[in-house]
Amino acid sequence: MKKTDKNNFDINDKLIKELFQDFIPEKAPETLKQTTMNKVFKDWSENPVVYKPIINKTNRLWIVGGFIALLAITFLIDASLLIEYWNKLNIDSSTIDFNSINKSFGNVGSTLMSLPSILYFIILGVMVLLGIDRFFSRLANI
Amino acid sequence: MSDTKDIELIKAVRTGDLAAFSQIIDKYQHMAFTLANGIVKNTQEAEEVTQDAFFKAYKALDKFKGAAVFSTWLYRIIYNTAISKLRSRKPETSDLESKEVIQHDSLITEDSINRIESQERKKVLKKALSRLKDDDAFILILYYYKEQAVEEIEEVTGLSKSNIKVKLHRGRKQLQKELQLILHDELKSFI
Repeated sequence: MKKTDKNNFDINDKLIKELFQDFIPEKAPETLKQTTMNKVFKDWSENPVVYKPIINKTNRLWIVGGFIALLAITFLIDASLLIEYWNKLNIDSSTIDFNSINKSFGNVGSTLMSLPSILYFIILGVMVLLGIDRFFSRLANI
Repeated sequence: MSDTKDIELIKAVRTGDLAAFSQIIDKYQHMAFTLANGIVKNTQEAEEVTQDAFFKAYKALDKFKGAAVFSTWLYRIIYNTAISKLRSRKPETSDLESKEVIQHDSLITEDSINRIESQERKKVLKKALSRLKDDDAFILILYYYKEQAVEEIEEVTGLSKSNIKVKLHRGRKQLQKELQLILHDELKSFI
């Protein structure tokens, strides 16, 4: 009995599968798209797309506050300390062969060498700030 | 996973590009309408359901995280909207219940179906599907035409696997019965 049922099921299934091979979805009425888009336009004009940052106001205050504090701490550190650290890194002619740079770039190398190291820190700081700014603006627009 | 074209269109809609939503409608409107009609079985109501479903999809697009296939997500909205429409209808006596079912000892065979021309098959199937109860046509279309697995149908309808299997079984039997009736009627009118 069970076998007969299974056979019937297989035949039905096969038959219906074959029938559905010719199936084509019904054509939606012409007015469907137009009416839907009218509703969408109406809603869009009533509720314009607003900028929704993923960081809410409270969190943003904390982040900005923390960032300002970090900057303040960084800039309050005596620049001479930074220079001292720089010198401790031993980045001089023994680490970088300034002679070969001189040969390659002529006066450019010697000019770069003569620049005070604090200038490099400022450039680096500005670049880091720009990077952080870009990162946060990206984050807010996700 | 949703196809990349869908994801691009969704991203564009989120940025306020309404033309992208129009493209989504173009792509899915016929299937959406067919599925809606599979439940409400009324062209005008199916159009209303499809419009509502697309509008709901537009409003909820921010909630679509891309974990499911977009079409599955959209079909779920269509299913829920169509079911709500059915429930909002005033109860009426269905002629399906009282329909006289012709008892045939023999089932329709592949041979009898093969005799019908392709164009005629489409008509017969469409007619038979429109006579199915509840959401049986919706489930049969997803299963046989969209070739979705029971698990995918489960995701669309929110019904349990066993419930879907029961509905598939019932739908299949009912479809066969309706096909018999239609073919019988056509044969009678031909004679």
